[in-house]
Order: sequence, then structure tokens, then C-alpha cells
Amino acid sequence: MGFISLQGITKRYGKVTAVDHLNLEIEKGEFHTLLGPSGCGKTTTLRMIAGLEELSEGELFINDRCVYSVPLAKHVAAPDRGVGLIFQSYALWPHMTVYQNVAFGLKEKKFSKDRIRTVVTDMLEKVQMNGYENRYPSELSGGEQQRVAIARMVVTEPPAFLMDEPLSNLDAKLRMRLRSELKRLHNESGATTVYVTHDQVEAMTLSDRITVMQLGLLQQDATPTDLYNTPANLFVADFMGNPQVNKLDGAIAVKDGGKVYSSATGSLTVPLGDDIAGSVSEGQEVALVMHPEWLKASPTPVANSIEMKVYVSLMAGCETLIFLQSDGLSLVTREQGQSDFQADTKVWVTLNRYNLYDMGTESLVGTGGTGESCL
Amino acid sequence: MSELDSVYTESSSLKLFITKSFFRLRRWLSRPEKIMGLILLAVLVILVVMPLIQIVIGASTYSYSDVSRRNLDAEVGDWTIYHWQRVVASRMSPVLLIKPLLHSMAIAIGVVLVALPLGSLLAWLVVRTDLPLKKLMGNLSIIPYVMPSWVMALAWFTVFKNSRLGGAPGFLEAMGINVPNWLSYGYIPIVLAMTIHYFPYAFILVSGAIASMDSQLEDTGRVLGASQRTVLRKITFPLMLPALGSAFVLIFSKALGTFGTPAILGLPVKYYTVATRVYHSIRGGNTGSAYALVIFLILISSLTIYMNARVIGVRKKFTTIGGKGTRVKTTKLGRARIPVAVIVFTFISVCILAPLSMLLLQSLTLHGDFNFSELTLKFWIGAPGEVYASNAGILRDPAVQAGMWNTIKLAVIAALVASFSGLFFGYAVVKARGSFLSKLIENLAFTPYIIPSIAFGGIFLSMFARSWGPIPSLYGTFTLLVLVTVAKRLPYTSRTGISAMMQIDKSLEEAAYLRGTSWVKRMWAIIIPLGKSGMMAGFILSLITSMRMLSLIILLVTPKTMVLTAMTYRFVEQGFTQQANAIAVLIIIMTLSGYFLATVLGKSKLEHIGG
Repeated sequence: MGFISLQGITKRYGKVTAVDHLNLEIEKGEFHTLLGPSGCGKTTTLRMIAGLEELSEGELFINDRCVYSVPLAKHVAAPDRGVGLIFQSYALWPHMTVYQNVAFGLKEKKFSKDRIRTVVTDMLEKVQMNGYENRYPSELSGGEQQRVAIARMVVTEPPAFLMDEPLSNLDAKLRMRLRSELKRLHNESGATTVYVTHDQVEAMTLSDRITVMQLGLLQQDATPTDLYNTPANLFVADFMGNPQVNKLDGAIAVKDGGKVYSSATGSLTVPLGDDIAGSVSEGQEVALVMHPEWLKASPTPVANSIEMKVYVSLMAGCETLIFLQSDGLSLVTREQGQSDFQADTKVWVTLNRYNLYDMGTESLVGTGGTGESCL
Repeated sequence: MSELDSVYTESSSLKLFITKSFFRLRRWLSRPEKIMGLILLAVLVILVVMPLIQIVIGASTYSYSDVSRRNLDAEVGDWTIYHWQRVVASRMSPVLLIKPLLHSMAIAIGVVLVALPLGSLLAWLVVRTDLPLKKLMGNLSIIPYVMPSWVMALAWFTVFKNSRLGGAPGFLEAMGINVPNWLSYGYIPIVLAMTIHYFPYAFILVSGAIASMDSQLEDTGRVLGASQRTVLRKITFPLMLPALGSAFVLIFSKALGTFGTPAILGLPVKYYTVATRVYHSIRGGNTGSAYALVIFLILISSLTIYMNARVIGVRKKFTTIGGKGTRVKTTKLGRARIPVAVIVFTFISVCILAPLSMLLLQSLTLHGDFNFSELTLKFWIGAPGEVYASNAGILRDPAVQAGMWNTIKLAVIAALVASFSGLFFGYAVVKARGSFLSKLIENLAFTPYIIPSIAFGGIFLSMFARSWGPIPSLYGTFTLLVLVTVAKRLPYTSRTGISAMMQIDKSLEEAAYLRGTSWVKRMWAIIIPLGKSGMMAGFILSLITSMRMLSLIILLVTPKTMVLTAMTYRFVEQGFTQQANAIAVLIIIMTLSGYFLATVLGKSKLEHIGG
């Protein structure tokens, strides 16, 4: 069993099911992210782990101890679960100074005054907030408030950290900086961390493992690499797009005796490898999904390519997104660095890798391509 | 895990069901906001639901006095339609119901028609024009609201009373000018005296809405080519509609049920409203008829609120008003600036200073006839026996001193209880947001709003005259006065508490809970300190209201628990004009100093008067 173990966790609010029979194992020392759009049940899940929400059904174990079970009539109150929580709003008490905020939990633990002083001072130094002891939260910037919130959580040394979108209220630059600080905090403390976010890039960069949720249901639980490369279903594939994925609806056809993917609009056909071909049948409706960097646009004709036109090209310094169109097809590709594609010029596109999804079940059928053009 | 498996396999499903249900109940009861919700629900049942039921029962059964007085062949408490018949369809019904109801409606409509435009115009002038001394005028406009409404009625008499009735004449009559009856008593004086007290309600609500409306919304209309008038009609007015609606409902339902002013200006000429008729019926022992009348008033109030909600609609509770980037552009009054300022300033000063000075002046003349050659201080500081009968001047009268002490004690205690209960209401409602219990107590707490004060006092009188299970008979006790005040103020205090609690993000308490802090400590260290400023505003409002209220407690006070407002009314009834005036002046001074103290100390805002 994992350090935190969710077994059939369900939360209902009246007729609405916020979390639906969620099973999840979070290993000791892992940085585990719950990822999904707003309303997917990720924050509710986190609050149930913390002990701020009651479960409607299911059992919850932390550190091999059952902390909530309806049939066993067992409930361990939040303070006794050994978890620390950072709220999206930081929840710093506005009427207490930075020092009082951090010292609050230690006072509850009946530490001596001297010991509190040493521990709090050490802690504030660690988050680079020494010298701010007597400030009130309203006198701090967003990033500083976040550091105090971290200090307040870490100071009581809980074996597990829970974080509810801790960076979502910060501007982009600060968010990047605090991301590295959070990662560092995790490395140093070794505490099991459950992190909630709706930002897939943030999840990718921080996590050991990511659980994607949607409408209260678990969609996929995987490492960041697997999640990015082989999303289990269309929802995850679409959600992991940065900024978006290419998704082409189509169907399986037979051409020259072999099974091919054939797009619903336009005339794109992709021969399927043997491993995929075995699991699809002719006429089956499927979708072809590709990250932009799995496509390559060339200004000169190349073999095994389709001819398209540049619709618009967006250069962002480190990369360039090129939006392409041909009769009935729209695609986007990503080039490293600064490419110069003029609108309405012709390009030849090769396809190096793809995932194929069944349109009925929306789940992954298989992965094709080896880096060479597979058209 | 084996432990769990055994539970599933070995227990019967019934046993499992019982275990589960018991566990869920225990978990539910472990939440402080639920416990608090249950306690508040119990309080609401006693203070609000039972009185309402009591009204219906009282109107549909024989009371003790019904039975004993008319030798009926019925027991006390027997069901009957007698009262309904008497009120609605008997020879008495024009006197009991029809006329008073028409009078009440006419007064309420009259007051709204004058006070609403007046208050709104003033609000616009103060907030959106370049009127000089805007801030001062804004602050002064609120003062008639702080002063008791019935004081305006008393002050009206000091000027306009004619010699048709005995006792001290008004100023004009004393100067030899004949004042016609319609200007002395009845409809016109009642509407005008009430308007002076109620226009600040419209002023406060409308100016709040105007001040928080982004004038970019209007500018956009102008940029798109609409004329100033079209913008006013299509943008400004619709955006003001919710505030105007609240002001309408507030003034209308208050004016409909108010007692003091129509009692003072109407009763001497037998001009009855429902409220004064209710008062007389209860005093005369006809509680059944009184309650039947009360039910009519409640129905009309409810209907007004319902229609307002229908017309304004929930969707139009504009969230676009307010927020960031609010810019208020001022309209230039141009050449009219100074004349308008003079008119506004004169109007407000007359509203405030005229009542105060006329009351004071009359209380200083020997026969109350403004004969300044016979000035006297005896009504203020005369020795016992020097004033009528054995009375002393009010400042030396032990009864008045006791009344003053009672007034202050009642105001402070009621305001304390009210503001704390408001906080608890806020906590129980906001923390359990969305649950049935939360909605139930929020709505029940609003219910006293639709029950006129005079009726509320009347019900408490009959309800607490005897003991109810564990609740002892409270008639004649100070506790009863506190209870009725707190109960009647629930619609306001609970709203103040709810909005104060909404400001406090729930995570602030949860962060402490996660660290093992007990509920009491969380309330003490987090919730109360953060809710303090909201509570303070509620406290001040309750304090002022409790000091000046008359209708609510007039039926409940006894010589032991006499407060100043009731004392004034008794003096008025007895025709002791100067003493009544002197005490009225005292009450004005007390409420105004309470208000000023509050604005200086607490920066409190009077924004929660609305419904």
C-alpha cells in the first residue's frame, strides 16, 4: 500500500458527485500531482485527504493507518493525520504578523517560547523571509506571502505536504521561480507531496507522477513522460496539449491490402504498423492525435510528405508555432528556435509520430511512428 | 485490510446499515457550524416561528377576555371564525379593518412617493455633482434617520397643533395664526413627519449604489452615440433599479406598520391606521381582532417583497457594479451650484434643527405656548411637586432617571447580544452554505422583517405572559425587552453577520483547524478578531435603534422596566406636553451622541439598513 492510499473514495454534494470511486496509491516520498480542469474533483480529493471534507464512501489510509472509513466507523481528525496543507489563497491570518503566523502551530504543540523562537527564525531564514517577522500579510507581495505560507506548513514537520494550487495567484515569472523552490523543498524534506493544479506544464515540471481527473473520475495515473507521450484517452491527450494538440477525425480504410488511417476531411492517409493494424477493423472511426513537434514543416519538397499552406506563423523567441492549412486539414507544428515562414507560402509536412484513438471509447488504440516520416 | 473485509463479510447488511448511519450522524454532529445551526434554529423557533403561529392561533380562537366578557358558551382556546368575521364582514369591519387599512396604505404610498425621489435626488447631488460641502451634506442627511421617527410627530405638534384639542398649542397658533385641521392632524402631517425620517433610507441605499457604479458604463453609452437622456434612461436608471427597489420595500413596509407617528398625530382626531388599531385592540383586550389585522399587514408586506423580487429579478443583482477601476465622474451644476447648495443645506438643517429647537423651546415655556416672557426651567430641573401633581422636572424625577438607566442598559445589552448572535448566524449560515439548515435559518432570520413592530410586541406580550415548558413567564422582565429587541433586529444583524463572515475566507479557519486548534480557540483567535469591524457596525446600529424604538416595546414595558421612549408616549397621552418634549430632546441627544461616538470611534457605516 502507498503512503497515502485512496480506496474507492467518493464525495457527493446532494445529487452532484464531485469525486467518483477514486483509487489511488501515492508512494512515500513521491511528488504526486492531481491534474485537471476546474470542477474535476482534484481539490475535493485533496481536502478529503487533509480531513477538511468528509467522505461519502470509501476508505482512506495514511502511513498504513486507516484515517477514514464509513463501514469501520473510523475517523481520524485532520490535526492527527500528519499532513500539512497550503491553500490556494495562502490563508495567512491577516491579523497576525509573519512571526505569529508561523509560530501558531508550534504554540498549539506546546513548544517552549525559546524553542519556538529558534525554530521560527530558522524556518524564516530557509524561505528567505528573515527580517520580515513583524510584517503583516497585507504588507507582503504575493510571492512573499507564499513563502510564509510554506514556512507555516513546513515548520511543524508533517510527513506529508498537501498543496492546493499554491502558485495560481502569482504572475508568470514568480511562478517559475517558486516552482523551483517547491521542487527544492520536496527534494530536501523528502516529504510525500500531493500537489493540485490545473496547469499541465506545472504538473509536468514538478511531478514524479501525475493523476489526471475529469468530472470526478480518474482518467490516467502515470509518469509525466508517459502522460505526455501516450495519453490514455482523448480527454487526457487534449488536456496535455501545450498549447494544443493536432486531432484529426477519420476512419480505418484498406488500401493496397493494408489497413490505413484515412482522414474524414482532406485526403490524408497514414499506413498503420502491424501492431496497430491488428487491433482495428475496417470502417472503425478513429482520431489521429499528434503533438505539434511530432510534425515537421519543410520549405522545400521532401519525400513522404503532404503539401500544405502556411496560415500564420507565431514566433516566440525560443520556438515558433506554424499553423498550416490545406483542403479540409488544419495542423499546427512547432519548430525549435526562430523559423521564418511567411503566410500563404507552400510547405511540405512530414509526420514522425502519432497516437490513434477509438472514437467510440475515446481510448488509446496504439502508437505509431519511429521518428522517421510515417506517411 | 483484513479488518475491513471481515466487516463486510461477517456483519449482516442491517448491522452495517446501522453502523453507517450512526457514524454519519456522529460525523455530522462533530461539525461546529451544524451544532450552532441547530441551536440557532431552536432560538428562531422560539422567537420567530412560535410568535407567527401564535398570531394565527390568536386570530382563530377565543381568548380569555372573549369568553368572560360576552358569556359565550365556549371554552378559552376553542377554534372560531368569530374574529375574522368581525374584522372582515361585520358592521365593525369598516372601523376595524377597511378604513385603517386604507389609511395605512395611503400613508405608506404617500411616504414612498415623497421620500424616494427626495432621497434619490439628494444622493445624486451628493455623489455625482460638484455641489459644495458634499461630504458635510452627506453626513447631515443621515441624521434624521438616527433620530426617532416619532420625534418628528411631536415636533410637528410644537409648530402646527391648533386649538381644536386641549393642551399646549403649537407655535403658529400661539402666534395667532389659525392652522387648519388638515395641517394639524391626520394624513398630511403623518406623511410629512414620516418622510423626514424615511428619506435618509433612500439616500443611504441609492447613494451607495451610485457611488459604486462605474461611470465607464455610462461613458460607453455616450461613446456609442446615445444622448445624455438616453443614457440616463437606458443605463443609469436600470442599474439603480435594485437599490431603488430595496429602498421602496424598506420604506413602504416600515411606513405601513409604524405606530408612533400615526398614534401621536392621528389618534387625537380618531384617524386610525392598522398599527394604531392593533395597539388599541390589544390594550382593549380584543387580541383576536388585533391578530387578524396583523395578518393583513404581514400579507401586504410579504406581497411587496415578493413583487420587488419579481420585478427586479435575481439575475439583475448586478455584479458589474463595483469592483476595480470604479471611476466616478461628477456632473457640473454650473450656475445652479450655489442656489442648489443653499436649498439642500436649508432643507437638511430644517429637518434636523427645527424639531430639536422647537421641542426644546416649548419645553422651556410655562404653558407651552411660546410666551417667552414666561420662560422656565421647571420641566427640566423643577423640584418634586413643582411641576403638575407630584412630578419633578425630568432631570430630577427618579422615574425618568430610572427610565434613562433602563434605556441605556437595554440598548447596550440588546446591541451586544444582537451583534454576537449576528456573528453566530453568519458563521452557521456561511460555513454550511448550500445546506438545507443554512438556508432555513437564513430565511427564518429574515422573517421578523415582515412583522410590524407593534404586532411583534403584542405577540411577545401574550406568548411570554405565561410559562412555556422550561421558559418561565417573562412578562414585566427586562429579559423580555432584550429578547424582543434582538428578535426584531435579526433580519439586520444576521445579514451584517453573514456579510462579515463572507469576507473571511474559510481557509483561514481551516488552517488553524489543521493545526489542532479547538473550535473555541478558533472563534476567539481567528473568527472574532477578523469579524470585529463588521460586528462593530452592527453593534452601533442596534444600539441606536434600541434607544429610539417605541412601537416594539410600548406594549411590553411595565413601570419597573420603563424606558424613555415609552415614557414620552405616556406623557403625550396624558397631555404633559413640556415633559414629553423634554424627554424627546433627551433621547435625541442620546442617540445623536451615540451616533457621533460611533462614527468617530468605529468608522462604522450605515449601509446595512436595507433589506
